[in-house]
Amino acid sequence: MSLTTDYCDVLVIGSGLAGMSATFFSLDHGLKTIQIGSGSPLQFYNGFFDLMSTYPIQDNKTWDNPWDAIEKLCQEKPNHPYAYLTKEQMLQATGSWLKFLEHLHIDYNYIPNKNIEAITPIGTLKLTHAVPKSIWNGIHAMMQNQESLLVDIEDLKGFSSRQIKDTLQNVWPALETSRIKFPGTAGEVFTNHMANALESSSVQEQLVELLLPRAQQVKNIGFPAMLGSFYHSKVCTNLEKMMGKTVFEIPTLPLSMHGIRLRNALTHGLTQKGGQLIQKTVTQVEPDGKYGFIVHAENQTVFAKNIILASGRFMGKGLVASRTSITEPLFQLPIYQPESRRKWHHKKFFDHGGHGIHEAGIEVDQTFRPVDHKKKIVNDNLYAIGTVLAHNNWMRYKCGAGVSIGSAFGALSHIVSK
Amino acid sequence: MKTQVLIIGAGATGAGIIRDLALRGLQCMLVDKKDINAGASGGNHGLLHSGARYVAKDSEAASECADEGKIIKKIAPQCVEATNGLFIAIEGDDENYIADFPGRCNQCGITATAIDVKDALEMEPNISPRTIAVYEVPDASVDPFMLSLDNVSHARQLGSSYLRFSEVVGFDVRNKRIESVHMRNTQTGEIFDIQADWIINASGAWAGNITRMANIPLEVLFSKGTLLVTQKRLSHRVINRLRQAADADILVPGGSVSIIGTTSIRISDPDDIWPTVQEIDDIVEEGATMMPVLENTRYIRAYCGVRPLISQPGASDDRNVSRGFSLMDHAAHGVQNMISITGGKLTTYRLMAEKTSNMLCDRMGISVPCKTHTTPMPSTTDGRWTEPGLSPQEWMQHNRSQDIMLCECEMIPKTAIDHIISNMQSKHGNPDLTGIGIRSRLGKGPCQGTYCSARIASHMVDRGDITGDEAIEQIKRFLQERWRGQRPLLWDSPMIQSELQEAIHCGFLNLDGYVKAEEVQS
Repeated sequence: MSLTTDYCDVLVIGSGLAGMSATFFSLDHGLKTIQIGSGSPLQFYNGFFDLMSTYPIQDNKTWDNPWDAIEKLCQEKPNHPYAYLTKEQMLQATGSWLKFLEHLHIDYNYIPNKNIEAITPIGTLKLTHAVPKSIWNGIHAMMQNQESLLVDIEDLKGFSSRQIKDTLQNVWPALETSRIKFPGTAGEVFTNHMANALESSSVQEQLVELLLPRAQQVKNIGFPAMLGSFYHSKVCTNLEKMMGKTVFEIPTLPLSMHGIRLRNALTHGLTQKGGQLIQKTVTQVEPDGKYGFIVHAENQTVFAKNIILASGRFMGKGLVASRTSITEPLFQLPIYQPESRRKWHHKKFFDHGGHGIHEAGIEVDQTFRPVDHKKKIVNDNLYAIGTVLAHNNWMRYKCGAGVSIGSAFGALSHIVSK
Repeated sequence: MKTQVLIIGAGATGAGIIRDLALRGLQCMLVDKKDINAGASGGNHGLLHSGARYVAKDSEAASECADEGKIIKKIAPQCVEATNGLFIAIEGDDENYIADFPGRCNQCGITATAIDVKDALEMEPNISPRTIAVYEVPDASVDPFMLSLDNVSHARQLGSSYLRFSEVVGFDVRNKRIESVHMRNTQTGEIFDIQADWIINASGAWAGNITRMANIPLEVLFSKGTLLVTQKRLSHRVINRLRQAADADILVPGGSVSIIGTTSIRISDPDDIWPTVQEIDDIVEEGATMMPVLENTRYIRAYCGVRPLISQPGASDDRNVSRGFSLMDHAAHGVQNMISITGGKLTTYRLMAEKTSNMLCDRMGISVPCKTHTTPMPSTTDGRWTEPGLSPQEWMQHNRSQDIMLCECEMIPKTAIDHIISNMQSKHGNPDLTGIGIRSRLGKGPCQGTYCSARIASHMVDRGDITGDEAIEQIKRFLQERWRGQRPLLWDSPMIQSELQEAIHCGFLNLDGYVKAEEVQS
C-alpha cells in the first residue's frame, strides 16, 4: 500500500456532531480542512437538536427557554463548556449550522427561545430545541391534538404504535394506530432497508395503497423513522401529495434514520464544500517544528497546523477507562476525573443528580485549548471540543448538540483570530 | 386463601420443600415477597460441590455434599453440567494442606485424582503457569434458577401453588397457633390473608424478620458474598484454589460464561446489598493468582448474595444433622405450628428440604417417606430459557428465520418471550420485565438490557399485557436491577456499553427526567 501525504490548516479528529460541525465551520472560514474519523457515530444520533433543558439536574428542573437555562448554568457552573461562549456566538453557530443542513435538504424546525416536547419511541416526551421537519410534524399534530394515524410495521422490533398511543393518551387522545406489513418483505424488517426501498416510487405507491383505506378520517400519518434515506424529503413530499395528508416520523432506538441521513448528507455536503473526509483511525500524532503536527492514520500521513480533537467520550474512544483511571489515548492529555472509581457512578442509575463520571474529560480554557492541572495551555495549536470536554454532562443537561456545535464554533473563531 | 402448608421464601430451600411435601401428598402454597431465588439462592456460584472444599474444616459437610451431589446429578440432570473440578495449588500455597488433601477427600468418600501439572495446563490452558499441584474431583455446575423453577413447577403439577410478590406482613397468633397470615402484594399493595395449618419459614436471610412477627426471637447475622460473571467461559471445569477456603478462590463455568467469587463481608441489612468497587478489585486481583486471564478478561456483571448466620443458642438441636443449616421447631418458643429452616448450601438444598419435611410430617403425625432422592425431577419449560447459550442452539436447530430476535445478545426470539409471558400469566399473575429476566437470559448479555428492555416492554404493551406507563416503570426497575451488578465493573468495554445505555435511556428517552402525570399534579 502506498503512503499518502496531505497538508492542511485544520485537522479534525472525529466524525460525530462536533467533528462534522468543526469541519463545516473550518471550511466556511476558507481553511484547508481534513477530517479523520472511524466508525459512524452519527448513526446513534436521533436527530434532536438539544440546546439545554434541565438544570439543576438534582431538582429535575426543566426550562421552557433554553437560553435562560444556559444563562443560569453559566452563572453557577463556570467550568461548563457553554461558559466559554457568548449567546451571540451560540446564535451564530446554531444559525449557520442549521442553515447549512437546510441547504443539504435536512430542514430543522424550531421556535426561537423555546424548548419543545419531542416524542420518543416509547411514548415519553423529551424537551429539545429543534427537530427535523418530519419529527416536527408529529409534535405539531400532538400539540393540536389532530386526528392522526400512527403506523407501525409487522416484524419491526422495538416500535409499537399501540405503546406510543397508550403512553400519550392524555396528551394526544385523537391518535389512532394501525399495523401494516411492509410491501415485499418476509421475516424481520429493519428501518434502513425499508427507507431505501421507499425511495422507489412503486414502493411508495404500494404503501399508499395499503394506508389510504385505513386513513380516511385523519389529517396526519406517522411512521417510525423510515421515510427514505438520501432522498428523504422527496419521499415525504411524494407521500404527502399522493395521500393528501401530512406525514411525520418518530425516531427509533438507534440506529435511527435521522442520524444516518445526517451522516450521509454531511459527508456529501462537506466534501462538496472542499473538505477531505477520511474514514480511518488516527494511530499516532507527533509534534512537527515547522508544520505543527504530523498525524498518522493507517497508511496516511497528514501535516496539520492545527488539530481539533472531537473524539467523543467512551463510545468514541476519546476517553478510555481502565480499572484505576481515565485517560485520553491519543495525546495523553490530562483528564479531569473523580479521585477513584468508587466515585464514578451513583448507586441509582436514574438518579437525578447523574454520575460523577460525567464531570470527567478534557479541561480547556476560553479558546477551547486543553489545559493541564495548573491551567496552562498544553499546546498552542491543539483544541478539544464536543462531549470529550470535562463538565459538559450532555446526557443529563440535554445539551449535546449545542455543546458540540458551540465548542466547534468557538475553537474555529480562535484559529482564525490567530 | 387456604392451604395445608404455607412455605415462606421461594429460594432453593422453599422450592425443595414444596416439591418434597407435594410428593408426600400434601397441598402447599409457596409465597415470596419478590420471586424465585431472589436471595442467596440466586446469589451464588451455581456450584454443585463435590465436598472437597470442606474436607479440612468440616468433614461432615463434605460427606453430605458428596452424597447430595450424586443425587442431584441423578434426579435433575437437566440442571447440572457435570464438568468435574480441579483443585490447584499455586507456588507459595500451604504445602501441608496440599499433602493432606487427597487423604482427607478419601475419608469423606470423594474421589480426588492427582493430575500432572503439565497435563492440567493442557486440560485448562487458563490456569496459572505457577501451578504446583492439581487434583481432579467430581464438582459440577448447576443452574440454580432452573433448579428452583423445576422444583416449583413439579409441585404445581402435583396440586400445590406459588404466589410471587407476596410478602408476609403479620401473623394472627391465638392459643399458641398462627391462625392466619397477613399478606401484601408488593406490586399492587393489595392486602389479603392466608389460613394455613402449618407454616414453614424458609426465608433465608429474612428468617428473623419473619419469626419476629410471631414474637419469636431469632438473631440472624448477615454475611455478604460477591461474585463476578465473565463474558466468556474461561475453563471447562470448575477451578478451585487448593488451600484453606478464602476469598475469590472458586471459578465455576456455566453454559457460555464463568463465575468467580466470592467474598465474605458482614452487613447489617439484607435488603440493601451492593457489590462494591473494592470487592471487585479484590476478586480480580486475588482470582488472577489462580487464573491470570481474570486480570484482562471482560466482565459482564457482579452480583451478591447474603448468607444467613444463626446466632441463637439452642438453634442447633439434636435433630439438626448438619452444622451447615439450622432447623427449628418453634413449639419451643410458644408457637405450635411453625418451623424455620435457614442456612445451608445450594448443594444440600434437597437434604434440608427432606429434614424439614420430615420434621413437619412428624408433627402432623403422618408417616409418608421422602421421595425426592429417587423421583426424577421433570424438566419443565419454565426453567429452560435460563441456561446461557441454550437459546441460540434452539433457534439454530429450528431455523426460525421468521421469528424475530427481541434480545440479540442472548438470542432470545419473540416466540420464547411469548412462551415465558404466557407461562407467567397462567401461573403467577402479571408478567413483568424483571420476572422475564429471572426466567430467561434477558439482560444478561453484553448490552445488559439496553436494547432488549425497551423492545420487550414495547412488545408487552403491544400484546396488551401492560400499559405504557407500566412499561416505563418496568424498564426503569429492570435497568436499576441490572445496574446494581454493572456499576462496580465499568471499565474498558463495559464503560462504553453503559455510556450507550445512558445515552439512550436518559439522553434520548428521558427516563431520568420522566415524571408520571399524576405525580406532576400532586
